[in-house]
Order: sequence, then structure tokens, then C-alpha cells
Amino acid sequence: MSDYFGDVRVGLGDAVERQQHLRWYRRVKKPRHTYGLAAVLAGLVVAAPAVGAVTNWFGIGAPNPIPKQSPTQNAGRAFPSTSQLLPIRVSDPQGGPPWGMRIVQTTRGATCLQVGRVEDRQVGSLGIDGSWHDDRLFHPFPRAAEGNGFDCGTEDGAGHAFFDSEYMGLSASATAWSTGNRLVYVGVLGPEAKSITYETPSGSTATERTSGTDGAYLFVFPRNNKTCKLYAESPNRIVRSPDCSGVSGGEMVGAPVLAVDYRGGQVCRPGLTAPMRARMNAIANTERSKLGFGTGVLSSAQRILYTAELDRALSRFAASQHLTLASLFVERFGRCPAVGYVAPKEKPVTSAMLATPIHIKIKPQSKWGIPVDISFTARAPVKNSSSWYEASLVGPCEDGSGQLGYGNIRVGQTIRDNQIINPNYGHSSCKGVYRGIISYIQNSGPTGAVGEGATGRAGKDGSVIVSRFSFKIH
Amino acid sequence: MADHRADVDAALVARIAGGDKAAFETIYDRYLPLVLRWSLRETGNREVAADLAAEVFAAALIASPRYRPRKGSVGTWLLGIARNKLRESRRSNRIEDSARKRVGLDSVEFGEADFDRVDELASLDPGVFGLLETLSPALREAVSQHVIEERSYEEIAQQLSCSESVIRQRVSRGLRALRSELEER
Repeated sequence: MSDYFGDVRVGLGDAVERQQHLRWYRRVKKPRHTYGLAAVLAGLVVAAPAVGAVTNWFGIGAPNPIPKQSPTQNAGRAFPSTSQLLPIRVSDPQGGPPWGMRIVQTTRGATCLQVGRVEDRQVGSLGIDGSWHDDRLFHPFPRAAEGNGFDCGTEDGAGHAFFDSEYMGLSASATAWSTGNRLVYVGVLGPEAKSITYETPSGSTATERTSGTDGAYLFVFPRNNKTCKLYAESPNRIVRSPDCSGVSGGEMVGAPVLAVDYRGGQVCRPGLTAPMRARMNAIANTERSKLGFGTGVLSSAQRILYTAELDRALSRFAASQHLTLASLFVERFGRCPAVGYVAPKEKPVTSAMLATPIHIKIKPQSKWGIPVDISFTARAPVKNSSSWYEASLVGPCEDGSGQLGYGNIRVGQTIRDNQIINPNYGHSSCKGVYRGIISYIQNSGPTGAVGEGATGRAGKDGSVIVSRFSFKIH
Repeated sequence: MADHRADVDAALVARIAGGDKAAFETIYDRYLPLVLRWSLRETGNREVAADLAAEVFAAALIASPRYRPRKGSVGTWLLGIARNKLRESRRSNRIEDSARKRVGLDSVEFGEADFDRVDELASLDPGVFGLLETLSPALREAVSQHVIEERSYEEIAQQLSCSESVIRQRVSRGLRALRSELEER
């Protein structure tokens, strides 16, 4: 006769006996005598390299603190109830808990990524490589944290974000901003992205399905000469990092992605066109042979020298195309579109609705220059990370634009900007007329990653002029 | 008496963490009625409730090394696991089985006789650990989330769309009611 509860009792009881409920690192058979135990422990301590091989894990430590988050500033404050652990798991080169990611939505309409090691369905960091005083414990990230230092992206009308990021030289501990020996590539390519084909560290190609409803992917590679050469130094990559470190937006999509397959059969192959790739490779090979480095893997010192020479050569090539080195890659690098993007349903605004006088106050010259205060009254609100006000200024020594604040703005609120004009900048005279434009940016396209203090870039046709202004510096 | 029972049960959980099969069987026998009754009330389906209860005990095995008596009794700990499992299950539209998979529990067939067994087990005296169920839904929700799931007042307020002070009051009133209920018994 069937007895469901009796069978469960026996089955789980057997699991306890087998210690199957314990993590692999806790399933330690009791030694026969004390000397045996001492020998085993001593062996593990000696064998553990300083760079943090994550064998013999011990347990759960204190959670990571919740960072200060304002619900109305930057990416906003996370809604813990939206926090979702994706099924994606990536083995770490040195073993231990796998890498994974959680996505969470915020009060300012952003989707943020929490990337780290996964233990018991929690994402967190490990106490190795100098983090957490090397306590060799797992420290969960709180679900209420918006991104544990990883990127956020503005959501479209359907609540999906579209961005990719590169973290070169991240620690195996998964403590954001720490330095270490991992290359982490992560992104959300949208609900239509089905699978990703990428270049493995051995140079072969592999295909993985995306994870969750945002088309998420995560790659973790060891950071060594070989992978740095492949993913960071190659002149075929849009994000090039001579020292194979730093954080960067991959701009949909960077290394190591070769192709994205979308539902419906569409395929995107980001990167340079074949002729351009051949040209880049030719330049790279020439520079290597000039330095006598051959085609092998370079040492750190050789890499720095080589990338400096390569940059000079690429700059010359860019100039021959009437481009800067930076714009060479931006212009010639094919990116993947935000397939499945749904424009947010925002009430459209017009210049007439936004029109407001701009007040200019030129103050007496200080040792830094002449302060110019620009202020106006907001006629349209900024309610989330999809919109913001922007000022641009063009003058004898000035040509730039910037976002005015990184938070919500209510109608009727006074917005202030402060510029300091140096009338004698360098050897040029900066006296003369300055002309500016205040714009209201309302996104109608994907914005890419938004980080701390940066709310992204405007989507297509997102800019509406609020007012123009000018002033003269005597 | 209640404190002594709590100490004994906490010690049993610690022994489960160390691989003691008998300790698990004692805890299972003692708390299955509570978990099953809660699951039945939340799901309204005997087969689903049994499925959920099995998953809760499997998850409890895995979580046993992390159980801390000062944060709550074994009963409240198990109900916290049950609540989390049910939430995950609702999200994926099926009862979670990740814990059972992890501990290698093969699927167990639910037969005709087991329907009656669910009723039988669920009707057993709830004891002190069933006290939570005597609270009104609003107080039970607040106490469960704050005391069992250890969520902050701020988080709960955000989820339930009310102010933090309202949640604080509900938790305080709920705990007061539980204390007086305990004293009466």
C-alpha cells in the first residue's frame, strides 16, 4: 500500500545519512584519528594558493551591506520583490560555487544586474583574494541592493533593458570593482534574443541559450595572457584595453560574442566587416613583427609596449580615414540592435510645452575663471531614468554638453547649472559670445547601460529644445 | 516547557546538519502536521500540499547548517521555508522540486489513501507552533514576513503598499497577541 509521507520520510532520512543535503565542501568524512585530521587540514592550508583557489569552502558569512540608494536619484532604489535569480550558472576556472546573476527592477525604471557567486539560490561574494579578510565564507548580496556595483539599464515600455558590459580584471571573489584574474562579460539582449555564439578562450566557437525573459548571458574566463590577447587587446574588439582591465559598456555586443540568434530567425553578427577585420589584423601583425614579438603570447611588459605601438599605428590608419581612433571603432563596428524593443508610452512633449525663460548670471572672476549661473524652471517632470534635462554650450573655447542632475525633477522646480569660463584658457583667448541650448531628453530608443551618476544616452529622436540662450564674456 | 522543547528541537536540527538520520525523522514526525496544515490552507489542494510539504522538508535538510535558534523556533523556521517555496512555486506555476532533486529524493507516488492521510495529519493539534494561524491575515502576514522571513519593515511596507509605521504596529500587535495566546494555554 502506498504511503506518500512514509516514503518521503525514508527518502529524506537516507539523504541525511548520505550527507547529500550538505554542500560538496562540507561532506567531509570523519577521520579515523586526530593525527589524520591534522594532516588533512595542514595539507589544505599549504595547498591553497594565494590567488584564492576555492576548494574547501566553509559556510555562509555576513551579508554584503545594502548600499545607500535614493528612490529618486541615479538608477533608483531596487524593488526586492522583483529580484529574480536567473537559472544561468557558469563554472569558475578554479571551482567552488558557480557564477550566476540576479536581475532586479528599480524605482526609476531601470533593470539592474547582480553578478556574483551562487550558493543556495543566493548571489554573493566570497571571502578570498583579500575580500572579507579572506574569511573563506560566502557573503550574500541583499536582494534590496540595486546592482552590487554592476550595471543598470533603462527599461523599455515592456520592462526590458538592453545592454552589455565588460568587467576586465574582476576578482574571483565577485566583489565589484576589486582587481583580480577574471574576465566577466554580461548583458541582457532583450526578450527576442534566443542564443549567443561566442569565442571560447581556446579560439573555438560555442553556442549557449540566453537565460530568462531579458535574453541574459554571462561569461567568466580566467584573465591571463592568452585571454587578454583574445578578448581585450585584439584590434577587432570594440572595447580595447591595453592593460586588460577596467569596466566598460560593450555597446551590444562586445567580446566574446560572435553572433546573436533571435526568435523569428534573425541573426546579428557584431564586429568589424571582413575587409576591416583583415586590415586590422594586418596592422597588428606588422606592429608585432616590428617589435620582434612574433605571434606567441606576450608577457605583461611586452603587451603594454605592443598595445602602445599598435594604438599609434591604428591612430594613423584612423586619421587616413578622417576619423579619430575612438570613432574608428564606433563607426566601423557593427552592433546588434535592440530586437523586441518597445518604445515607452510617455506623453509626448513639445518645445511649446517646455518653453521657459533661461536666467543667466555672470559672476565676478575668481581664480578659477568666470562663474556663469544658468537657471530655469522645469515645465515637464523627470520621473525616471528615461528622461532628463541637458545643457549644451558652444563658445570660443567651449564645446560640450552635459546632463543636468541625475534624479527626478518635478514641474515648477528650478534647475540650476554652473559653468566656469576661463577667459584665458591656455594660450587662447576665450572671450566672446557663448551660445547654449537647454534640451529635454525623452527616450524613444534603448539607452545602453546606465551606471552610477550616468543616466545613459538618448534614444532616437529623444531631444526636445526647451530654450536657447547666449551670453558674452568680456 | 515550551523553551525546553525549543531547545531540544534546535539540537535535533543541529544533529540533522551533522548527518543524523534519527534526528531528521523526529523533526519530520513532529512538524509534518504543522507544515501540511499550512500548505493545505495556502493551496487548498491535498496533493499539492503534500508535494509542497515534501519539498519544504528537503529544503530544511539543506538549510539545516544555517538554522539559528535565536532567530526563531524550528516551527517558524519551517513555515518560513514553506512560504518561500510557495512563492517560488507560484512564480513558476508548479511546485518547486529543486531541493528534492538536490538531495536525490526520487519522485514519490501520491495514492488514493494519501488523500485521507493528508486530512488526518492536518487535523492534528497544531500545538504552540500553529499559533501564527490564530492571527488575522494582516497581522499574520506582517509577523511572518518580519519574524520568520527576516525582511525589513521597509521592504514589507513597500510590498504591501503601506507605511513602515503601519507594519511596525502590525508586527507589535501580532507578537503581543501571540504572547497572550501562549500564556492562556
